[in-house]
Amino acid sequence: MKYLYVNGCSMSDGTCLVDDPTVDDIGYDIRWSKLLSDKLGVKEINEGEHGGSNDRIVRMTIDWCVNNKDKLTDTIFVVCWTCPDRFEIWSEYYKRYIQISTGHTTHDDVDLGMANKLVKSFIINHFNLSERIKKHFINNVIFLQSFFKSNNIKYIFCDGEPVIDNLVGKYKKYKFFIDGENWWNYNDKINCFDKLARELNSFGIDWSPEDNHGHPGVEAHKYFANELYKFIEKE
Amino acid sequence: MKKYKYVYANGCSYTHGEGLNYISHYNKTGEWKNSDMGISDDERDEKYRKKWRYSKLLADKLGCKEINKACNGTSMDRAYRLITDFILTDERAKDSLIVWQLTYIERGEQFRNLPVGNFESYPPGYDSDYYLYKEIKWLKAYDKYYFHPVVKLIDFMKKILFLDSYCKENDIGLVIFDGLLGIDHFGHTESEQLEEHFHPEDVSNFRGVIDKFYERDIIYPICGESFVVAAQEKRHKKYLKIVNGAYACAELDNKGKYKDTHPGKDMMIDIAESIYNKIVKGDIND
Repeated sequence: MKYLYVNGCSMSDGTCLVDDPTVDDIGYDIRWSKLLSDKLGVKEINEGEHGGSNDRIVRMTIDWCVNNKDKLTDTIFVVCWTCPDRFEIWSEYYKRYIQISTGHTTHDDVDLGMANKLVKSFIINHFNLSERIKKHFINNVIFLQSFFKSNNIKYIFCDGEPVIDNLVGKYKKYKFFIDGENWWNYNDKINCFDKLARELNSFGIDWSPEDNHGHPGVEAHKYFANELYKFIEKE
Repeated sequence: MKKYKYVYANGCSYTHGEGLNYISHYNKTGEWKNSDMGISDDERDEKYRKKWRYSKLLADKLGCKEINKACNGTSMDRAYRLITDFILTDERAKDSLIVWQLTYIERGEQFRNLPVGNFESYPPGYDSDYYLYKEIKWLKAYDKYYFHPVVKLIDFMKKILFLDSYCKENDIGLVIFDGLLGIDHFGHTESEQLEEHFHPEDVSNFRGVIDKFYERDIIYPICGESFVVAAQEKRHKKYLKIVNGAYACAELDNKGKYKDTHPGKDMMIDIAESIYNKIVKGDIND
């Protein structure tokens, strides 16, 4: 192996690990993907982004695969899924994809007035979370899994947020299609990075006791990197 | 070759068999009358349509039952949604040959929240009696600000790659052919042309997906053509037949256009044979 490819949301890009607005508070050197790549002795390629959707994760992962065919046999992929209510839309005006989270554009795009107006209308008239999960997210998980397998690509899936609970808890008929062997802590009590951080009581600089919410902290990233390392070694 | 029990077909009117249902009326009256011309339900021959559409012909050739979920005027969004639903939730999928006929990229569908609570196709759908005013406004704005055919096509190429991977991994038959999309026209767009509209990084990603797509050789040719519309033109030139040939009706209307360009019976046979020959004999019916 020469490369570790990671995609996900803020749980993967290292958001809120350091108190430094010049790097968007991202702890590049202490995030789990860097720690894991160091342990594996491979180069870290992290395309995760705070506020990113599962649509973005799948799109960019496939883009990377098709543009780096020569590296595929030397790469292990770790995909860390995020909240299924997030999605992305192509903007003809901005000529790029815009990420939508909890009903509006994410931090980087909050000033896109027109986009926000249309997104608000979309959410009211056309957005249905259970349809989104069933028809879109689960399909993407299953098909990305097939894409990896049919191309003999080594991969691990894990949850940043408690996504798998939603997935197989509510829609049991899809459980059959998920390959738990390649999923970190599938069916375990601590089955996502967020729960791990809570268990360890390790949070980033955004921890808010009132909201009981915050990104994983330094210890959580270290622990998660170790956990994934053990999982990869076992595999 | 795997022995299938079902042929599951999805697509638009080309797969539904539209056009065939007006043949009987023409044979009786000598006048072409279809849904655009106000044909009544009694004058339609739905049995004939279901007998001669390609999915039934293919199912008969393979000794299978036909499952046809195509619908007139609908999109690839709908077909992909229904196909993925079928393969992930229907027991019959493991014994099925899935046939997906691609159609116009501009067509789409959106989930409509309650009181509708279902997916609806658009266009044609800017119908004031059907959609609420605010929805029409939103759909028009969506098309203007959030739709580009190349972006959607690339997204579909990825979906097709996914579907292909899944079906191969799970030994489900998959046939995809280009009915009305014209994928080659998009697929062979030069990078320079794309760069006029997109960032170079996006163009590079698009090219990567397009190359991977063609590398997998996924699209089934029909009569040696990558596009059914081209196969229809070729057949019509070779065997000039006004009704029920390459087209349901090749009579010219007062604008000089064919009255009904849906495939006629002969073309339906061609489509079924092309698919059959490719999957059974591994060659192309030219």
